[in-house]
Amino acid sequence: MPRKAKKQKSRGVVDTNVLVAGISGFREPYVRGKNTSADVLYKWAEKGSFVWLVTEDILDE
Amino acid sequence: MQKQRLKLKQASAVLQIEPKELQNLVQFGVVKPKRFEGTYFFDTNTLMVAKVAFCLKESLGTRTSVLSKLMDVFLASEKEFKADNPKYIVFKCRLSAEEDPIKVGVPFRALGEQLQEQMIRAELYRDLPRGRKRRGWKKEFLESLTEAAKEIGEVSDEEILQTVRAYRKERRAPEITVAAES
Repeated sequence: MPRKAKKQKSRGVVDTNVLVAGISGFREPYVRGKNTSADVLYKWAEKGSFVWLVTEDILDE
Repeated sequence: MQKQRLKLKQASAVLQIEPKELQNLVQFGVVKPKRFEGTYFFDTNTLMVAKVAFCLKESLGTRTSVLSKLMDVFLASEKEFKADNPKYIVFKCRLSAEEDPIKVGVPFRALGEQLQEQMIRAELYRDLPRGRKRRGWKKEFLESLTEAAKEIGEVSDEEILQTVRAYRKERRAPEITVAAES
């Protein structure tokens, strides 16, 4: 019997631009749809919607 | 620098070295932290040894067998260096009896300053379950975002983009120079 393919979570690097823009979206109480970058961060915290990869360069930034 | 005893993960965060890399330096006897009930503890002296050793390893690819000899010599003079806080310390290393020694300079003061600056990281890397496994993680994460947002202040997406671009442009490749010394 063929093995059921395991659904893999998407993996991605969040660029520093997106991260900082997303953070700045939390200055006021978070409202979905107001800031796309903040939505990415909120969704990641809420559902773990993707595997957040980091690179040394981005950590450095 | 405050008297502190850090566990391996904390030490690696302060040193900005992967825990595995630091563990390797310990296993090969380059860095010799005190061990208590199976756990390594790094004091400020050991952190400085690790910082210097990693600098040599990363910059010059120095072998661990050579590194451990260099660090033994360094450790013997560390107190003196700490008191004088020289800009550079210079290792003289004679590879064979017939040859003149080679000299390698390490920016001691700058490395010490980096260590001091990064000490705050020790507090962030306490032995708590990581990420989502920790109770209340999501709340903590979102609160951190709110705090960070307040610190950042009002900036436009364009300003963020320009700042990141400028930083990336500024980041230069390491410079290598050679100069005669009598």
